[in-house]
Amino acid sequence: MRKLSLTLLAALIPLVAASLALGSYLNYAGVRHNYLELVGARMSTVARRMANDAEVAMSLGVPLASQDVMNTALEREAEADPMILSVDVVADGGRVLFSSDPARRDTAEPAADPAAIRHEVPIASAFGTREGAAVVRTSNAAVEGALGDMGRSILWLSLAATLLGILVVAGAVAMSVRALWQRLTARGPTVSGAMVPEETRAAFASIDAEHSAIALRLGQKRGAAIPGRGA
Amino acid sequence: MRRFDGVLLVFVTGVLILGLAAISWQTIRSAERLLLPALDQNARTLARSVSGLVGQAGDYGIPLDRLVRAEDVLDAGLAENPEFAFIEIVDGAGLVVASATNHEFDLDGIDPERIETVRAPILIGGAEVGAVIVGTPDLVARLMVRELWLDVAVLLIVAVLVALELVSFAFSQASALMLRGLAQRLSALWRGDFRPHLPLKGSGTIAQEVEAVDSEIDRVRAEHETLRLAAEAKGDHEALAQLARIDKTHKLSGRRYETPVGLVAVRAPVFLFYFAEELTRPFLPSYIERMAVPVAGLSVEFLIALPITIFMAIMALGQPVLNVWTERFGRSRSIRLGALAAVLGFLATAFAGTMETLIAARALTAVGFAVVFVAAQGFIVDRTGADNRARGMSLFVSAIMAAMLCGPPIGGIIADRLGPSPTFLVSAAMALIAYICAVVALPADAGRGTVAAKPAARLRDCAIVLTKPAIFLLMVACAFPAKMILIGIAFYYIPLEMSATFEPSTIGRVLMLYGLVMLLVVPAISAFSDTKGKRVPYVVLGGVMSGLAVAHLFLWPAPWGAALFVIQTGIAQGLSTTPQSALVGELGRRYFPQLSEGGVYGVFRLVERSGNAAGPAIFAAVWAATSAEVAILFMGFVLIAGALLFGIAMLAAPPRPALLPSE
Repeated sequence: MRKLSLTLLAALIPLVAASLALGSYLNYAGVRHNYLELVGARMSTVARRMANDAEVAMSLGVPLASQDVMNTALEREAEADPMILSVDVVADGGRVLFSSDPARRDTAEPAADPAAIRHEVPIASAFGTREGAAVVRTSNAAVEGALGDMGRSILWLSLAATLLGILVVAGAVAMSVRALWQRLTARGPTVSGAMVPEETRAAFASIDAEHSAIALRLGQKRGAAIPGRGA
Repeated sequence: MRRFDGVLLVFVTGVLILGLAAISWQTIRSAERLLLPALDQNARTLARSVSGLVGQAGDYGIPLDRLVRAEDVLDAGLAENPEFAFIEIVDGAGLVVASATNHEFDLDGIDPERIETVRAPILIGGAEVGAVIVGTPDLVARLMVRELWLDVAVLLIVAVLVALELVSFAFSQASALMLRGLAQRLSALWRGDFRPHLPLKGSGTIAQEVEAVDSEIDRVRAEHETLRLAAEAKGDHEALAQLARIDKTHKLSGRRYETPVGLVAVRAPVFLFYFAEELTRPFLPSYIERMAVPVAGLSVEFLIALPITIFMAIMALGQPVLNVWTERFGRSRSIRLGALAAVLGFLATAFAGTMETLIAARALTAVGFAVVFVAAQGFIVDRTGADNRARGMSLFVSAIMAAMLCGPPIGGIIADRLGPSPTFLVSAAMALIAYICAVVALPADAGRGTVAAKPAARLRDCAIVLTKPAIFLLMVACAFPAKMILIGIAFYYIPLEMSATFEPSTIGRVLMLYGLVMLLVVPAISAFSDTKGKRVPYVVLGGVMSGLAVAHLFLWPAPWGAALFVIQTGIAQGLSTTPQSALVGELGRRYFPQLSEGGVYGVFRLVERSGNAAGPAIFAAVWAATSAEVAILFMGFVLIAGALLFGIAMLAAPPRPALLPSE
């Protein structure tokens, strides 16, 4: 019985823990996905508007590199959203032409930017040629910070639910196995004197009573048959 | 024992429901705190963006009331931001100049107080001439996480089914086998069933209980026989009638067709092993697609089908020879070896970078799969006789069905969150757990004695069996295309086509319907359709229904069309599979009395499984040559035509001779 309890616990506790952990992760990942999509959609909207402004100016004959008023518009956009690190207009060669961040103006865009999530919309001329891109850089730390609070609250609840779940399952296994053991080992005698599980006595008593009645009718002595296997 | 299993399952289910509900409730609360401000910020950005555009138009001299196709711009804005209920452009007097509404929301049914609005002024020449208003319903955060609840519900169902398998596994341990045996006896006696049980060997308290119960059953049966002989000797008809009634009520002279308790040991490894493969169903075709580069003479569609076809071909062709091999090598040892081969196969698939390595990895997995499949069947066949083999096999089949139900949705969810390659790693882990279960639960193989098993199908048997039109049509025109359509459309085309627009978790939920139908509907309808004299009509009906299922793919938008196709195919195959199988034996006895029944069934299984292999290849070939629509119609047509041809052939066949008693 101890072995059975341990086997059941070894099978069920990881299952409960894994299910609750996976459930927690699915919940967290689902909201994270929605949140990142929302942030992404917002940044794309900003980038698209900046690209549109640049394209309109180009259509009026102002080359992209000469749109100096762009810096003010970019600064205004960056100020409107605390998650934005910078809004840039980048030339096709990778040079930052205009930026909401003065330090980035007239610099080469780094190949890797681990602090930011980039959202880019191409800027095309009236003839369809690519002249550059409007790039919105979102603060990775700000996004993860916002998600972190939610992640922590789900994690703590998940840990508490898992511990409680394990305790309940362990208790259920212990009680069930104990009840099963008692049920199976509680014995009582049949009419033949054999000790059988208590639960089966009624079935044996019922058929024995029917047989007794017929034996009486036939004038037979009860228990005339010899018990043995393979009857 | 059922009561015991039931109590544990209730507790596990309760813990999971309460735990997952609490976690989901907390998620919704956190999501509202996180998503609502983000939505508000998005609404402001969208409103500012549109107002900027309208302002630009104004600066060019186009006043608000002369804006052309402003609704198109607003519709595009809503399409990109489906979480908003409406966008409006209003003039200085507050009159709506242009608006767009998101039809996902029933605005009439939402209290205006429950819609948050943001406003961005429209400036022309520095003066405010109007505004852009964006409306967001309060309930949108809840709607955004609605999809999540489906995933959590799927997880709950799967966890409960896995719990059931694990409880069953716990009872397959040597220490618990005696317990299960005693429980079987108690349960039978509680129903008043006195048929003798298969003997159990063991020691300890429970073994003594088992022996006491068995001895008492034997005593009661012996007493009954003694009384019957005495009543016969005395010519006491009334006593004989009473004894007959007791016999009937308590099944005293009946034989018990129970599966040996030890058989359950094979169930958990089989379940986990199939679960590992089923995890990959929702994304396998799209995973292959990434590596499929056109090769001279082969279309991309065909290349995507190739690894699936090779996998199925190895499964089909390996089975005839593996029966003898696994018996010689040892069934338990073969299951363990097959599981290890699959572990390596899944690992190699996860890291495959080219089509060649992917095909090799899938072939290795298929070899492992075929070995486990045949060895597990052999394990049951070795431990059962003709009278309880069907029950033994039902253990095996129901484990596979449960895996088909659980695997695709969970695989889809994992692929959604982690990607396909990590999901193959999860499959490898599951196959490894299946290996560990096999090591722990399966008994050691006996020494290598004489081999009793025969190859499941011989070429000579195929040549003989397929000469009769009726049996040829049953196998080649009904069974073959039935599997062809299942693998070709349900497991190749649907996951591939849906992957363009849907996440793997949605594809997984569609594919799980096949397992669900098989597990719930099929046992009910197969008993109904296996009625003697109705087998041919049900085979024809099943074929026609399965063929007509393709119509759903044209009639309904995805994913509903695909879901209905899977459900109808499952029901149709449930209708026809059992009578098909029975007809094989019936026609085999009628036309080929010189062949063993096993030989005829071997040919049937080979032909049927060849359909699994041919399905994706044929579908892809027709698809590449014409279009997906033509390929779908072609599959449906082949199935319907085959079923009708078989029906006509059976109508034209000479009346069948008297059935054998076993029929």
